Amino acid sequence: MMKVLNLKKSYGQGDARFEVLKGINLEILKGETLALIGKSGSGKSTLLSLLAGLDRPDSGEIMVQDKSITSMSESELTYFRAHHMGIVFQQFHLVSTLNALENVLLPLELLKRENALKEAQELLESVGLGHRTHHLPSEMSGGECQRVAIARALAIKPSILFADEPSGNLDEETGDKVMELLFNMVSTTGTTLVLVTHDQDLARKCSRIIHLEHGSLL
Amino acid sequence: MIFKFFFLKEMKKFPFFFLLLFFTLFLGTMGLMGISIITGQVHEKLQSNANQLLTSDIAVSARRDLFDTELKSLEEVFKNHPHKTYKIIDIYSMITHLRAKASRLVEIRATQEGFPFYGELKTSEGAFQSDKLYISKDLADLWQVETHDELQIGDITMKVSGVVLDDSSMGLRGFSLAPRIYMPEARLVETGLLKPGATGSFTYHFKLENFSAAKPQDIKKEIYAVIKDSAIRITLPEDSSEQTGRVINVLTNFMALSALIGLILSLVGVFYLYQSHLLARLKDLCLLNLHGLTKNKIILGIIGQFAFVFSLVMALEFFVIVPLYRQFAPELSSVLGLELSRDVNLAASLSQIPYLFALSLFILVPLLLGLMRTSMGLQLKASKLSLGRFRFWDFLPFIVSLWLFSCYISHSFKTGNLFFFALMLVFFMSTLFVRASQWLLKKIIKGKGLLLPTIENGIALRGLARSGHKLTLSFLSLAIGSTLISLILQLDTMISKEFTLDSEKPSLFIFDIQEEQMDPLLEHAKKEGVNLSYVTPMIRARLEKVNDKQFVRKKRSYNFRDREDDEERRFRSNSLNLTYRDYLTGTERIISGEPFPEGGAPDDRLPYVSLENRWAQRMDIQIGDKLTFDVQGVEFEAMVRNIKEIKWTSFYPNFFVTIEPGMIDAAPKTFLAVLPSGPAETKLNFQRTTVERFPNISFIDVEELIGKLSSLFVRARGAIEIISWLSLIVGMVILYGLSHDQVYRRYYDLALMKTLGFSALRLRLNLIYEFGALFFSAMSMGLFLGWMIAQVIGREAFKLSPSVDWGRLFYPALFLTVLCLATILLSSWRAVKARPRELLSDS
Amino acid sequence: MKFIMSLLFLISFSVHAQTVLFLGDSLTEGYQLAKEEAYPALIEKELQKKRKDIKVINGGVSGATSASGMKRLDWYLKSKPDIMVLALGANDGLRGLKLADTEKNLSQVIEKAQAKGITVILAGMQMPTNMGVKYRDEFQKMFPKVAKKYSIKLIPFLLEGVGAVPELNLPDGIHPNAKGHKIMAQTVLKVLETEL
Repeated sequence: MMKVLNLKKSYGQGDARFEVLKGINLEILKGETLALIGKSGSGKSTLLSLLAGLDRPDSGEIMVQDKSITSMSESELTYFRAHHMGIVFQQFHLVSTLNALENVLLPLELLKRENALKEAQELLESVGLGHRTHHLPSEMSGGECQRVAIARALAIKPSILFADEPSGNLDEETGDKVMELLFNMVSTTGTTLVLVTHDQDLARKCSRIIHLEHGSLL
Repeated sequence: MIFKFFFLKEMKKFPFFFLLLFFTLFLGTMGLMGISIITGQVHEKLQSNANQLLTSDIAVSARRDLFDTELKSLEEVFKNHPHKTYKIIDIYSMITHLRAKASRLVEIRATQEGFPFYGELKTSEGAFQSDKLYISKDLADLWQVETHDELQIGDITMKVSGVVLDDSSMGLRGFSLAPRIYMPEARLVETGLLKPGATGSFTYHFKLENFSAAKPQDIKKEIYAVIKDSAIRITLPEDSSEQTGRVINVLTNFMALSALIGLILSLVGVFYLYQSHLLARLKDLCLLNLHGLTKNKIILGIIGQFAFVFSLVMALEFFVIVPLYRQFAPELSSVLGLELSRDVNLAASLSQIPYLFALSLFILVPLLLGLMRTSMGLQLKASKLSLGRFRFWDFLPFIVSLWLFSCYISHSFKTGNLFFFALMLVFFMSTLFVRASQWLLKKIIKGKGLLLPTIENGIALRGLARSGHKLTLSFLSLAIGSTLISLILQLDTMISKEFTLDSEKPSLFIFDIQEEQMDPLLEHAKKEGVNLSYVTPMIRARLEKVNDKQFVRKKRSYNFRDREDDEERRFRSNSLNLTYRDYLTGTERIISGEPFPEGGAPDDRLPYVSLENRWAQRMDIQIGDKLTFDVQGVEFEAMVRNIKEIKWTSFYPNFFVTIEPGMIDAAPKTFLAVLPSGPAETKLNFQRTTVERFPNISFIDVEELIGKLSSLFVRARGAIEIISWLSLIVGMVILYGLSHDQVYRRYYDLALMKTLGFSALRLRLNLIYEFGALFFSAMSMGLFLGWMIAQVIGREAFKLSPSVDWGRLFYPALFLTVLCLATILLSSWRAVKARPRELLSDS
Repeated sequence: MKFIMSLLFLISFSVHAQTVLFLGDSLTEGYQLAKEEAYPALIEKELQKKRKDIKVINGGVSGATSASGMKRLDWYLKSKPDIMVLALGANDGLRGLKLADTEKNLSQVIEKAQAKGITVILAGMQMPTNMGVKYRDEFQKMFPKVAKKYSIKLIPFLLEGVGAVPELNLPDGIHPNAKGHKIMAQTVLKVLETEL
């Protein structure tokens, strides 16, 4: 469902110019769970951000469901992303002034979905936080926040879910629990998952692993 | 030491913070210093104006010459205070203008060498010399006396050496009933006019060599202690003119308030700066703590940092700004329209430094205590860092020292207290408002979705409802900022109004106009091309009874020291001048009771009477009292209908008692009239021809006096405007900084929302709703409270009349709203434009 | 109201006592003193010891010049004075007005009063020395001249023994205090009693 053609991205200018991605070619199939693994500085986060439409490549093309997101305008891209993509960040990134329910509600009401409230409630319950709907991010633990983030990401029933080191900020036990939840939900809903991680064990839980080293796929 | 180095490194690492801190402290304290320089100078100018009006620092005067014993006592007092002295004798006399063979009444001002100590007399022949005879300009103009003419003064004849074109001295009375001539005191004795039985004013003037040892006020007390005769008066420059004294007073108070306001605004900024800075540094501080640096040492280090920056600010002010000022004082003068001199009184500013430092440091106490309360170990584990909470009483040191500083800098407990309680009022109202609003908002959002009606609204409302104490703090700062800005603006308007003379200024007072002369005089005036104004009847009467009880004289033991007591004695005699009128003049304002109805006094009730405020207080008379007057043999009763206040800048003769027309109109009276200012030629002609036709009519020329006071007012107003603007600028900078800070904190939230599909426009709308609501409500409350406080402080500390300057409520509201919105948009620019990429891990 | 007032006026004076009107300025009014302390009231008190039917009207107005005499006389005619003590002119002098005018004004007042059958007594005044010898002289001579012209009694100098004596005057040196007025009362009585 996603095709990446000769993706290139550099940072810096002049002498300091640094090529992060040196021409990536990739195909992601619907429903698969893809692990993107590499050391720090390999360019994996950059790749993820490009795939998720959070940034623009220097050259190359990205097709999602036969639509080229690289040739979309900013607003078109925003629209597309809002409707079809879910993202889970390493640092939870919940809106600090909204409670758990409202955070999940946010993308739903943005898209003007009907029964948004009910759906959000159900989603929270499915991540095991049905009893914490009214708590603010500051009142929840790291793991709980991440679970809310997952619920939020999945709220719009995206075609593809991107996760950037989702357990990176959590302790081992919590991290495991959260990842288990993630995999469950993804398989239940049939959502494509692209997971960025440096953890080999975690990567092996995915259906496919790709390695990124110095900006190129191995 | 290690941590000293560490903190120096700190400054290199966070230049922006320290720069901002420096700038904020600089603005706040610069306000104090700048204000004290400018207004110190204007104050001096005003003082010197007052000195010029009196011509000396202390004047000892009586209607007779001082006895030898009294002179000896004076000598004793002044033995300890190096000084210069001269004597002036003012008497009225009929002199003969030999060339015209005419006799005229003049006021002879006999002076000694040294006159005047302050100010100068410009003559047509160069500098004034006290051993020569000069005539005043109006004597020259009115009666065509020329230089080299001979005047017979008493037994001697003298030649006129020149014409005095401008005399900065007013004398103790403020105006003269006749034109002046100036002659040497030594020759006055020769004239024989001082024989026993002469009446005049004998004044000994003193100029102190330096003021550091003793101030004129103290010396005045010393003199009163040794000279007991009530006939002798001691006058200081500020006593000699009520108007001057008042201007000086208002300026001093206003200067103090503004300085304070500027300082507080900047300290609010300092608080915020440190709050965000400490939060940003918290992780590193926790690490330091972990590695063995105790919390005490950390806090000491922070205080040390602050002290360092503070001293840099002080150094800049004293070693750079002051010399710069000295260099460019003349240019600055022309730009500002004030006469600034190069002198700067550093001692006063220097002495304030410890208080300023303490006050600034105290604002940090809550933050430092919060730091103390932070469990640093836990913080390191926590995903989101937060400083320990501070409590209300952490602010107590700041609050108490603020109160003390307010009183100290305004030199009055009254003003200091008023200001302090005003701030407390803002504090309580803000807290109350925020709590109430948050409670209300929580009720609104309960159980509802985000669409209220739009998502932007929904998020905004939740942001407001849930930010707890942070919101209170932001609101409070904004409210205080707006309050202070509004306070300054409203006070500025009120003071400017007070210091504005009517455009129609009187030039001549005309009195002793007999009844039958009034109409002919008006006709005459028309023919001469002048319009007389303020034609007022004056009727002599006595106050016999109040509420049917004999009017009791106030038997107070006074020491006849001041003009006030002189007036007391005058009132004791219960004789007064009445007038009848059913309208208010431009200088009067009813402060309680009802105005007179139209049509005059009908037959079925007692006629109404209107009393001047202070007079009524002295006489202990209230509205509704029945007064019995004896109008030249006829008794009649009247009822007090209203109390009015007379503007202190009024130069018109004012009546304490005004009666409804229709009662005493037939009683014997004379009339007063005023010639408004106009061309000098017209005025002269009018005076000359009027005296010819109506010889009994007298004139008092007030043009010079009013001119001098007018320029005094203009100068004071100029200074006040500048001070106001200074504080305003500080206020706006702080408000901007606050707004910016608020929005910037939302950086990550904004970026997240962008990721989720919010367009830039929608993000901005969200911010506008949330912060717009915050700013607008804080600002409205602040502006309103500021206006209210201005009325109270204006009345109590400055004795101003209340006013509402809608323009200054509305336009600042508009402007501040625009400022805040602009701030929101500017500050959020980066966040709104941020690439969501920055949310990802390796950024 | 106005009608009642004029009635009051008439009533208070209709029981015809001998009425003495003092038409003067601040010296007569008793500047800065209570009415009872001014010399007209003192005279009234003194006279009433001997005869109950004496009434005194204090028509003193501070600041008045001789030009105000006529109109004020009109006002007091209502109370039908028998005797008038004319004590005006001092303010004319202090203002340096032309003495010819003062003399004219005083004459007019005396003529009108005499035409109404009122006995006039003129109070002589003097100017302080600072006004100059010539003016002083002229001023002082004016009163006996007028008195002679109209054949009326003259009080040589109203402030005899009071003028320029610090203990008898207020701090301004010009207006007599209560003590001074006592002496003035005696000075005036000396002449007044001869007309009663």
